[in-house]
Amino acid sequence: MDNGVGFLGVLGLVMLSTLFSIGGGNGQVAMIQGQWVSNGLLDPALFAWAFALGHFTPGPKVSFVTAIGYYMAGIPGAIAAMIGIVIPTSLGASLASHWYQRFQRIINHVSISASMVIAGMMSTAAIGLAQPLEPSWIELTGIGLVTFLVVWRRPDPVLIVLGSGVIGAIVWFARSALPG
Amino acid sequence: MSSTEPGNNSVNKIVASGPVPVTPVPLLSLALVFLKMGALTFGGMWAAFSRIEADLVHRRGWISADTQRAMMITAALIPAPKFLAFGGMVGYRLRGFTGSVVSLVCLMIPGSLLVLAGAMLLRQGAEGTLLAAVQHSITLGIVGLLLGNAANMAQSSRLTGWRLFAGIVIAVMIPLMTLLFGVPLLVMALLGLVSGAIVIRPEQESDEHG
Repeated sequence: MDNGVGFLGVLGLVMLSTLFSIGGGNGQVAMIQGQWVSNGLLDPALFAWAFALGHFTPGPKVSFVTAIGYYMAGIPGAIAAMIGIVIPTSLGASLASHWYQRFQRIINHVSISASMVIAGMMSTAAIGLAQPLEPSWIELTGIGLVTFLVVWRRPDPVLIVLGSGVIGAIVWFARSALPG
Repeated sequence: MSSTEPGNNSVNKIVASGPVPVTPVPLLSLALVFLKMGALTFGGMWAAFSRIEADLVHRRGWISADTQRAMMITAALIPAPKFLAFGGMVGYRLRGFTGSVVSLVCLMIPGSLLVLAGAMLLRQGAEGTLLAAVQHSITLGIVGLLLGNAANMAQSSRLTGWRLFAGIVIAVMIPLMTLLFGVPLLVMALLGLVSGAIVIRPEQESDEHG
């Protein structure tokens, strides 16, 4: 964990990324990918594993940031990630409850374009996550199929994660069984 | 759900009513309810709709069904993870800011502890091992999942005509400028939000301005 990020680094980035979570868009994914994965501070496989854990566990899916915080700065990092989610969210929720009518116009304006901005951020995260893996054309086809499936049927993400893991295991066993 | 859909006026009135607890709710009860919710709900806020309604509306009578729906819609519109934002809004309504923090923390703790346990158990697999192969494969699956979710998110904007075109330009410029030209993602996201708010106005307002 000698990446120089530390408690405050985790806290700062997670707090900032929370602002890009309008409408369920996972702003954290894009920000963490952009700041830590693409800069080589966090391995893409660990990032993906943390993201998968968020879907396997109960409660809000954003709890995956706890694992990211742990990978970046140990237990203090995990705590920082939780605080980084709780502070801006409780402020935002309280303000929204109290002054909803006052902020409604701004929220309406921002939320319309936010979907497209978050779509762009998620695409950036996806491409940035795939780049260091240098996927083969077969793997690129697989990514395309998963993308199509998600758009077409909107399956539970847990099924995607489980399916991908099973395929990876089958391919590994098949390669191990082959001579040479 | 779009904020311009019918029914949002009533949403405003219900949500804007602030911290007005019908009966004083002890913080401990609030904490226990949200701990349970955090431990037993899967699939996010909308998937947990019925369970939340059964507990908060029918069993305890802390909020009305209308208030629950209004809060869920609002939670999806503010810049925060929506399930947590919903928890924070319920907590705020029942016990003010302290209630908001308590409900949020308790909603997050069960999942976070399990995630942390998973992260501690499994670290990066050595090259050529089964674990590394599975992690590689899961990463590729998540790339597809993110791309699919990005497409679904773009579809959910329900933009049409030139507003859709402007939205697509904004969405495409973000990965393009970030990955090809090294512009920081945060800068591009903020630029996208600002330019989107200026260019893509709500339909009614856009019509009024010709």
